[in-house]
Amino acid sequence: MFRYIVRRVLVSIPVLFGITIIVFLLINLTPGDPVDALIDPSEPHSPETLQALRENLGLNQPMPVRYVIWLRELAHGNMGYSFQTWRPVSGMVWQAMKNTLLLTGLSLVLAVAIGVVLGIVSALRRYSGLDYGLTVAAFSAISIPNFFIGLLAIYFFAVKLRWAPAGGITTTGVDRTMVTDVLRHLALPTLVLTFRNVAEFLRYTRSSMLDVLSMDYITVARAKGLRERAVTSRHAFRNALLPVLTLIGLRLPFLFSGSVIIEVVFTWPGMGLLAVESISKRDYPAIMGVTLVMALVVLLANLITDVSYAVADPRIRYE
Amino acid sequence: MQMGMQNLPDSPGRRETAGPAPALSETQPRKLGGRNRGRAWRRFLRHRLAVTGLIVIILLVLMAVLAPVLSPLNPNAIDLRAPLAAPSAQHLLGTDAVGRDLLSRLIFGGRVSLSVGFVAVGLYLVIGTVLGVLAGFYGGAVDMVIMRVTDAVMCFPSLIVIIVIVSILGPGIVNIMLGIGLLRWPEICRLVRGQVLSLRDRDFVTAARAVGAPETRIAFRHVLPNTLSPILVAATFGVANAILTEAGLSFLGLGVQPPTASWGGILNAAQQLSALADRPWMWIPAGVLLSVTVLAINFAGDGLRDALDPHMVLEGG
Repeated sequence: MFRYIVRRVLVSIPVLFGITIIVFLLINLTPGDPVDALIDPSEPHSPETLQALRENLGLNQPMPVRYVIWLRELAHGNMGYSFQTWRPVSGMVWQAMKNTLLLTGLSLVLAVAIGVVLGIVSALRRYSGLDYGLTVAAFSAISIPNFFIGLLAIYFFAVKLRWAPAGGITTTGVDRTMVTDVLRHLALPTLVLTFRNVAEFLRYTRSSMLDVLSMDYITVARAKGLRERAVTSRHAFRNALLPVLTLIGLRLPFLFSGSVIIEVVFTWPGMGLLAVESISKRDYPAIMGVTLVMALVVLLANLITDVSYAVADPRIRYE
Repeated sequence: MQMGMQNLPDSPGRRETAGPAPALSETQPRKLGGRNRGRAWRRFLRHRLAVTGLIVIILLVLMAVLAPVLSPLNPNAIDLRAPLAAPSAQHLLGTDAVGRDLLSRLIFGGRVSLSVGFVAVGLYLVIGTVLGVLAGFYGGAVDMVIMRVTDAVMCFPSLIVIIVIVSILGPGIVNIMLGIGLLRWPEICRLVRGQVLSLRDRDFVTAARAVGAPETRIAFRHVLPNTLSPILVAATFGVANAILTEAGLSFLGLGVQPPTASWGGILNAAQQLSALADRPWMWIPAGVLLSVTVLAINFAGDGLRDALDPHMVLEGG
């Protein structure tokens, strides 16, 4: 067991370096000078000023040197300063991450609750009209682009019915700590994100439940005269839930990077909006910070998932 | 991670690249003996939603191919006297901000979606298949290096990196295809590698080796063809996802650029509140068409998965 975990962690180390190299190369191969994005183009700038600015930012160093400096600073938790706001990137990413997690976490909890219930209903009434309807609905939820659902939600619920605001996280002028105000702003993006996740949990719970219902121990439970309700709730449901827990593990990356376009549609100040805005402003340190954090979180989630599989299933350890 | 995934053959996949949730397989009677193409085709035809999906796909391809014949006006012709026109006899779906006919743009937009879907997936199928065969067939250090690179690429949220790549190379249809192609191959690579690993020591491979076939030929001519079914299914869902990605990028203004018509680009107009609120005819048709396209492909993919179910092939063989 211990040896498996050590081996699994060791395998992650080259992947970790691979991730940092990919992020670094990606950003540094970008044509266009970040200095251009900093200066006011309407004012004249002498080449000397521009050169001084470049040196100030460390952009004159050769690429491998910059990579090592960047890596060293990263190890100290320093992701540099945004070219746009001059605030530390770590702080910006942290703030954005909290906003994103609020949105995606709420949506995931709702999706699991609704999806599992609908999935069980669907499995218990297999081949009924309801089952068929839920199947088609689930496929639709997976197929309709979520930004289109987002636009429809804004059109109907924000513009026509005026039930909820169309974007942002707070009403301008209202104190940030007003919980009800933030909740009102959360309503529409959460609704849209939940839609697709419900579909995935529904389909997964349904097939898991059907697998369990075909097991011998369910037949035994029925044969010994248990009421159908007891069979489904006590014997089938609990066992069907295990694979659903696995799916929750697989969806962990969604918490950090699953809402990119929806954040843009609803101007929700999270990681996705930060990423898209940084890219359009060529804010290299911010782009690197967001992308890196998103990738590292996935790496960590995969590691945790694999280790927990090994804890649950001894066969994996000896592969 | 790959161990986890192999334990979960029915898992809906990871991140936003995930295909639809588990198969509708049990809605089909499980008949043994299906091995040849005709049997698989007949199983596919029994899947009503899949057949509907296939018909819709054929219609959409026809629409894209015949776009110049079908569209009432030139999709790029600017009519400055009639910008933002409401639907009328002349412009059935109205016009956009510079007076281009939206119905014509909608018809031509299908070309972008379908070509991005097929070309981008074709691109990463080649990358993923070659790397997967190499890793699975040769094993050892080759396998180790390829799988660690795969792990690293898989860690990235593909949409963000595709946006970065497209902004580096410049927005445009070719660069979107490249971006998707460079980011989405790991899934195929793992799939192919797993299949190759399970086939590598089978008798027909030993037989090929015994008659002196070179290793590369064995890998690509004998082992690879036997892995085609799951690749085909993954590719079908991949096309649906690639179409969604392109539409998302174009919607953000980072994808296909005007004057080229694309469904995502038409939806981009809805980022302005005036269009969103007061001119729903400008963006709803493009969103509906996009949804129908992706839905049709996902249904077809689901039917394909049932029809090509490897368990049935093994049982019947």
